[in-house]
Amino acid sequence: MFIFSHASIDPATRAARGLPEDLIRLCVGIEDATDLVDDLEAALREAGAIKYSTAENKFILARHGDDPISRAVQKLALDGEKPVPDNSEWFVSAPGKVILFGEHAVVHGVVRALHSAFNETKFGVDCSSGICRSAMLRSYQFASRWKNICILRRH
Amino acid sequence: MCVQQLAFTINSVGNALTPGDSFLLLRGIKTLAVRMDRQQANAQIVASYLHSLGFLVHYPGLPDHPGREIHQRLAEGNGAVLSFETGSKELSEKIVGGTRLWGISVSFGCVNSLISMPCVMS
Repeated sequence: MFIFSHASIDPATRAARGLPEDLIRLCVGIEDATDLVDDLEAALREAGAIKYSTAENKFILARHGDDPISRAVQKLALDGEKPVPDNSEWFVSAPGKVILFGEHAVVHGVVRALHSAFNETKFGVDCSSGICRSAMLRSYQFASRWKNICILRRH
Repeated sequence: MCVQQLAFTINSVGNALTPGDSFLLLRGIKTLAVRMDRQQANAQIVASYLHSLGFLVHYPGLPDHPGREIHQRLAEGNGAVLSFETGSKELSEKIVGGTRLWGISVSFGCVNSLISMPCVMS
């Protein structure tokens, strides 16, 4: 049975007594100091608390929300703000591939999948306006459409 | 004094060690000074490292610790426990979960290093 000390005090009292919610406590043992610092540094780096600055050639504090994932999340506007409509066309390509067996199983890490590549590169255009209009699409013909994405085939 | 009163005192004060516990305690006392020296030296290194990165670190061995003069009057060393703030509870949880050598446990005083978040765990 666990006996809680700090957690049993309500948050308001904790705040009043100056006990921050984000406090990390370290109780240091007798291991090698370099090992301890290295492990802490790895954890800080993986969590995104520090990042390597090539300009200063050392680790520095990462500003909260400064990492690429936070910036990407801000762009997605998941926190309720309306995303800015993007009317630009995105031209993408990928090698033709077919999964013959086991795609879902691969996701769960159970079995290997059998897949093969086509000797054909697929091109796609994401046009929010619904109409593909671009000078560089002249050498391609329309193959199929899925929502706003047109799959094209080279002539 | 009857047995029940004695049992109540022992249970509430916590001085009821078994012979095995007593043996371990006596053996531990012999190495206590050596262990404390090592732990305090390590804690100073870890605290200085975090302080140099720019975190707000609480450790009496750091020059900007409030009440440092009082501590130095009362104690010879700076102890083996320190804490630091990251500014974000989620970030702290990620850090605590990401360590491999620092064990996640609510305890202190042992020879293995431990990391925890007092407001969430203890």
